[in-house]
Amino acid sequence: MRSSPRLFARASKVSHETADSELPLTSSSFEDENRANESWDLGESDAPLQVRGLTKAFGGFKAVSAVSLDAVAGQAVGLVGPNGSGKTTLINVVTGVYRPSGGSVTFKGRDISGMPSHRLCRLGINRTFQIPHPLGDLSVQDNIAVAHASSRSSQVNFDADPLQFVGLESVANIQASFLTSSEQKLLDLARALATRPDVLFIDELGAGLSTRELEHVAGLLRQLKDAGLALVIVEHLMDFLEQIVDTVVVMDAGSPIFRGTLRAAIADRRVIDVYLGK
Amino acid sequence: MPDQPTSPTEERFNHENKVGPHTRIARGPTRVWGLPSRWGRWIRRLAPIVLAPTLLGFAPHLYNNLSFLTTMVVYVVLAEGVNVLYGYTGYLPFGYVGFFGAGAYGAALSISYWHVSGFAALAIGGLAAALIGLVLSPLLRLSGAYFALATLAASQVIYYIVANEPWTYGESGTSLPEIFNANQAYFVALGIMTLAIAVTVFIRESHFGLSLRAIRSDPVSAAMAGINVVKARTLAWFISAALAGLAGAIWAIMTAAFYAESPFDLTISVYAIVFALFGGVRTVLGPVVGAVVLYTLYQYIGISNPQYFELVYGVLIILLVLFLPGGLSSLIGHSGNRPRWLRFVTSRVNRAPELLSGTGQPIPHPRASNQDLGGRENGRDGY
Repeated sequence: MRSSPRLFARASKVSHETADSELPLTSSSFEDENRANESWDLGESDAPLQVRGLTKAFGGFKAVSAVSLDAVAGQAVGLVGPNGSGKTTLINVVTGVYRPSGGSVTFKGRDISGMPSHRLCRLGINRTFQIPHPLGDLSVQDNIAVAHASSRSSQVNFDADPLQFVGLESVANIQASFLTSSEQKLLDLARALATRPDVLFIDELGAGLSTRELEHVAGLLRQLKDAGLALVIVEHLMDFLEQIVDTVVVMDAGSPIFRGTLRAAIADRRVIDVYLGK
Repeated sequence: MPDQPTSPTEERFNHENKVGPHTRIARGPTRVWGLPSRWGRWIRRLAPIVLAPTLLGFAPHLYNNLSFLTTMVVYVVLAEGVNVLYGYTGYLPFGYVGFFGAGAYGAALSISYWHVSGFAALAIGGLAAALIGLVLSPLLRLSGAYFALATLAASQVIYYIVANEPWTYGESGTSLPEIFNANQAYFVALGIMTLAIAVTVFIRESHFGLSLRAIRSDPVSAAMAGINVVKARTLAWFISAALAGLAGAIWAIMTAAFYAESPFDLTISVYAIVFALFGGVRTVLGPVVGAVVLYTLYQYIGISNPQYFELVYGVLIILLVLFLPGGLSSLIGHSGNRPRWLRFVTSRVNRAPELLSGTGQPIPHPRASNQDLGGRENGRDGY
C-alpha cells in the first residue's frame, strides 16, 4: 500500500524531466517557481500547509504533476487555470479524496499525504466543493451540528456561528436538499467552518452566483482571511479573486506555469497563451 | 502539540465555554410533544422502550399461541436490525438471513456441545453473527444492488456449509430438548426486542446516528465533516448482525429441533425487509408496527384463506410501494414526510371552506410549507 506512491514518484520525476526538455517555456517557469517560493514563503516554517512536488496520475494520465504550494495563515492563494488543468484534482489529493501518486503534503511539519479526509478535518484542513455536496437528508442545522462535533481548538480568531456568518440562519430548520444551489454552496462553506479549520480550500464558490452574491461571498472570504485562516481559492472569476487573493498559482495541464500576483499573472505571456491560445 | 487530534467530544468541551455560538448549534426543538424539551425528549426516548414490550407482554392473554407470538417478536427484532442497517446506512442486506442462521446455529451448537445455559447460548448466538459480520465486512466496499446480491450469496455459502457438515448436524438436524420452555422463550424474546428498540432509540438520538445519516446522504461530505465513514458503517453493520444473531438464537431455543433450511430460509430476509419498510425505516416504532401488523395478517390469512395468501400479500406490497413508500410511519408525524397524494388530500380538506366559497389563495410552494413545519415544531425530524 505505502510503496505505490513512492513508485509513482520515481516515474513522475523521470517524465517531469522529459517535459522540461520538450517545453522550454515550462522549464523556465520552474525556475520562476523556485524564485517565487523564496519570495512569498516567508520562511518555510511559517506556512502550516506545504505541498511539495505533488503528483496524481490516473493510469498514464497525469492530472497533477509536480505542484508545490504553500498555504500561509492569514493569506489567500488563488489557484487558476483553464478547465481540466488539475485544480480540483489537486484539492482532492490534498484533502484525502484521492491518494497522491508522488510528492508530499506536510501540515505543521507532519506528513499528511494520503491521510483520510476525516483525520485531515480533525487536524484543521477543510474544503468546499465545486458541485455543492450538502448532507441532503439532514436539516441545515444538523449539517452544521454534525461537522461541529469534529471541531477543534484553533488559533484562528474566528468564533462566529457558521450559519449566521454565511447568512443561512433563517433556513436553519429546512432540509438541506431544499436549498438553492448557491445556498448549498454557502452551506458547504458553513459546514467546513464549523470544524474550525486552519486551512480552507475553496473550490469555485463563486461560479454561478449573481453579482450581489459574489460581493457577499468575497466579503466573507476576506473576513476569514483577516481572521487568520489560510485560504486556497480555485476560481475562474478574476474580478472576484482580485478582491481576496495575495498571490496566484496558474496551472496548465497539471503543472504550475506561473506564480506571483494576479496583476502580474494577467500580464504574463505564458498565462495569456494558456487562456487565449498562441 | 496543539494540532494533536483528541476525541471530538473532548474538543467540544474544551472550548464550549469560550465560544458562544456552540450552544446555539445545539439541535432540537424547545418543546417536544408539547412538553418542555428536556422532559419531552426523555419521554420520547423512553416511551417506545417501555411501551412496546409492555403491550406485547400482555399479548398472551389475548391470543395464547406462544409459538406465533415469539416468531412475531423475532421478526420485530429482525426488522429493527434491517432498520439499523438499511434505514441508517442505505445498505440493503438481502442475505440478512445469514446472520439469523449463524445466530441460530451458534446457540444450538453451543448447547449441544458445551451444554451452556440458555442465556449464554443467546450471547454466543449474537457473537457468532457478529463474527460472520466481521468476516463479511469487506462487502461494505460494494454498494447498491451489488451489496444486496453479495450478502445474498454469502448467506447461501453459510447455509451450504452448515447444511452439509457433520459437526453442525447437517443431516440429522439439531435437537435441544433440555432447554425448551415456551413461556420463558417468549419473554426472553421480548427482552431482546427491548434491546433492539433501545439500540434504535440510541442511534436516532445520538451523534452516531446523525453521522450515519450524514454518510447516507453524502459520504465525501461526511468524511470532510470529520466522520470516520468506514468505522461508522462497520459499527452499524456489526450492530445489525448481532441483533439478527440474537433473534436467531432465541428462535433456535424456541424451535429446538430444526434443519438448516429453516433458519436459512430466504423468505426470512424478505419478510424482515418488507416488515421494516412497511412500518417505515429510520423510525423507532415503524419496524415494530410493521412486523406486528403484517405478521398477524400473515397468520390470519394463512389460517382462514390460505389459497389467497400470496395474492393478498403481493397486492399489499405493491400498494405500499406505490402509495406509501415511506411506510406507515409517514402517515403520522411531519407533513413533509407524507406522501404527496396525502398532502394534497389534507390540504384540500383543510382549505375546503375557502375553496368552496371561491376566496382561496393559491397553494403555497412546497418549500414554504416545509419551512413552516420545520421551524415551528421540530427541526430534527423534518426530513
